[in-house]
Amino acid sequence: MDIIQFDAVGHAYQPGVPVVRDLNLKIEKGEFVTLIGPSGCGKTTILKMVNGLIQPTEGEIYVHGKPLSEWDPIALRRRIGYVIQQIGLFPHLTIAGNIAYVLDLDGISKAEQRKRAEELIDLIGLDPSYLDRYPRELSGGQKQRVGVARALAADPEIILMDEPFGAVDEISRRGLQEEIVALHRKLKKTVLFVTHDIEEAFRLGSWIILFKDGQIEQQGRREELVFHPATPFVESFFGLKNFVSYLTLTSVAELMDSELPRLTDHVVSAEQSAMDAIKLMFFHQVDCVGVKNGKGELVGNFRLAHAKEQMEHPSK
Amino acid sequence: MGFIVSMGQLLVERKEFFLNLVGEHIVLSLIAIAWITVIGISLGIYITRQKRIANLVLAMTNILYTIPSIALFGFLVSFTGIGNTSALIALTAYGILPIIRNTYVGIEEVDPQIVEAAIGMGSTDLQLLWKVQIPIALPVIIAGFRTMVVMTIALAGIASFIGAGGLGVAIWRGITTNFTEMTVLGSLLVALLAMGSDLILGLVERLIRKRVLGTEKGA
Repeated sequence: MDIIQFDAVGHAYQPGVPVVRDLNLKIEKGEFVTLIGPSGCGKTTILKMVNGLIQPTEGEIYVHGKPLSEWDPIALRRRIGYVIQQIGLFPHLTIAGNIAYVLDLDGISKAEQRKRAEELIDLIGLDPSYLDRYPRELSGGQKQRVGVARALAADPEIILMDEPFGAVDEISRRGLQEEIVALHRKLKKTVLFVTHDIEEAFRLGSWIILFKDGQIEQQGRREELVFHPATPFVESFFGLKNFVSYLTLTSVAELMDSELPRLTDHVVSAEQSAMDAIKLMFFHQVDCVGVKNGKGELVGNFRLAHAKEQMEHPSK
Repeated sequence: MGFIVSMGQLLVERKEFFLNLVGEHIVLSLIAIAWITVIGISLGIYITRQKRIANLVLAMTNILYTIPSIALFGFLVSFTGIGNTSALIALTAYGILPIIRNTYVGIEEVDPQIVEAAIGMGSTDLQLLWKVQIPIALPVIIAGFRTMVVMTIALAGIASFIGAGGLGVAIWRGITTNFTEMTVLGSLLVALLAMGSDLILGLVERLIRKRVLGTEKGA
């Protein structure tokens, strides 16, 4: 069943100036969806409509199969994790207090809160000694991890993230992205992730939705957006630069020809990026390199013609 | 030098009298402070929820604040008569501005991102207020409280002019009987009370500021 459903949803801050128009969207349970688009495309508004921070002016949104108009907004929000851009950690509460905030709202005992905070700090890979510190003592990346832990406290099935890594530096952001992907694999939550960074969308989302002027321009897996753009706007949005991002983020394993392990002078490992393989080919002026797995066994070969076919028609 | 000695002698000789006045002064101030705190904080919180009347309430308290104290005391006497009631009303009217203003400003200045996070996570309005907005605004509210306490203690000295007790009695008697030591001693004791409270509340403010903001410096 779809965990979130938008049914002809529209929103206008001022009458006659809609920021979201006739939105129909179904989100499957467990999917990692990234909402991307230029600023002002309505992606943040769409996100905030899911937990009722913004009311749709048209249509209906269903969460867990129940229309939003029938949900008690407080109860709904406690069942949805929420991570925002500037993190919004509470400066007067310790890290433990921040993580357990939702549990505290629900009147859960201090001992239970502590136990949950300990579990979550472990999950996000911070030392338990941080529990008794204050947000101001943490780095940007650490704060963002705490923000994620806080959203997970009540074990919600849905997590909304509004450009959560926008304010951290490039290196921390990369690490955070990898962690969030790993967390998603482990916890199987439904994540709605707003970003304006195409590379981030490619890296994170199993399903990418591109918005323009409050409407869905195109949605699909990253290959579909890069290789089968539905409109000139999609094509220009996911231009050459993003083809490079795509190659950087796609592993050799995904694009190799595994039916033809061929011994060649030059070999790449399967976990390396397609970009690495192409660089190697370019550098050595060859049109085929071998691919070996972690144990050093030859498992396939990488050729541009086959790679292109794989990109356009992913076999998996 | 001789003046200070004769003041000291006066204090020793009339110990009972001054102790009594200090007691009255403290009680009068404390009652006024309690009133101001309850009314001021409630109103301050209320106008963060009713923004339309916020400016009106702040403007009205501002006007109260600009009326000269002697004029207000005189005005009140014609309604509530001479004595502690009029004094309490006047002290409350004066002291309420810093509390309302600082409560309102402190809550309004909480980072909107923090407020959004709190609402987005499912806080009720009351939980938002008690668990997030008031604790974060506390250093600002305490700063207003401190200003108000010092002001109220000082102003309570004038309250004796309309028949209220307190150290103003000594000052007033000193002036009317041309007894300078009495006047100065009364004034000094008022100043001492005010400064002592300021010192203690300053420490409290620093403690809270450090707890909430992690720094003792002003925001």
